[in-house]
Amino acid sequence: MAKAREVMSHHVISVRDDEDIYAAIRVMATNEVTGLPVVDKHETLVGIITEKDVLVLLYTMQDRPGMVRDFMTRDVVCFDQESDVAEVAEALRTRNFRRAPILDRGRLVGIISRRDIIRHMRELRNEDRLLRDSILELVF
Amino acid sequence: MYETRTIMSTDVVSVPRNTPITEVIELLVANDITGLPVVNDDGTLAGIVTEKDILALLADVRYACGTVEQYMTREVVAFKLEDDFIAICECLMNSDFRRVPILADGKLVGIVSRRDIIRFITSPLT
Repeated sequence: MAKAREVMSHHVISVRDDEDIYAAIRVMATNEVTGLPVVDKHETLVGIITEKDVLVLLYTMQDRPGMVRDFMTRDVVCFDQESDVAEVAEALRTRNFRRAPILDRGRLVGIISRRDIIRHMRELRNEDRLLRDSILELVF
Repeated sequence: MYETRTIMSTDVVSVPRNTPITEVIELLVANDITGLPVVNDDGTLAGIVTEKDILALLADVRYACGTVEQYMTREVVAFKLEDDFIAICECLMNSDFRRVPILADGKLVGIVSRRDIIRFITSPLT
């Protein structure tokens, strides 16, 4: 089974905890992501801001200025980059979040979403198909 | 009052119940979507299949077979086209799913996701 680092997206769009919340919402909307990891000035993960957090904020019309850290979810399930993908997949299957930040000694280095796992599953199948086709070619 | 029909996405990718699950995996990735409605022959909603449902296949994806019907969620919260948009907002704020199918005469006509609502509210911002 693959390690988290082999399946994760390396290109992670994150926001700083002291960023203006509306700037973060714009980042989320323009990048078509459903959640953004939040880091402090040392690049240490301190939370996550999700579509759900944003929806609640917009809906309740909280127009007071605020920073990301005032609205983010602090209790984030994350994994080390050496973790087994199956372990990450199990968390994403049984829990109600669709992405988990991936850390290397506490620093944010990637993210694994349900989509990343499904893409990995698709690759596994395709590898098998290629292998099967080349064996068939050898035999016949 | 905002109308659901102006906010919902109408270009919805849906599949019939007998679609192979492997095809669903391809559709989710190719269309960059997190779930898709499953429909009966008459266009009525049979269920919804999400990324979460598919993750259960990881251990034996190489041998995965069967149709979407075996993996989909059957109890789906759906709204009618004439339902109040505010009710949909509140539902998506308080639930663990991120989209709801929209029906007209029982048939699937659209989807409203959290993203659709955020985009709608922030459209002057972005």
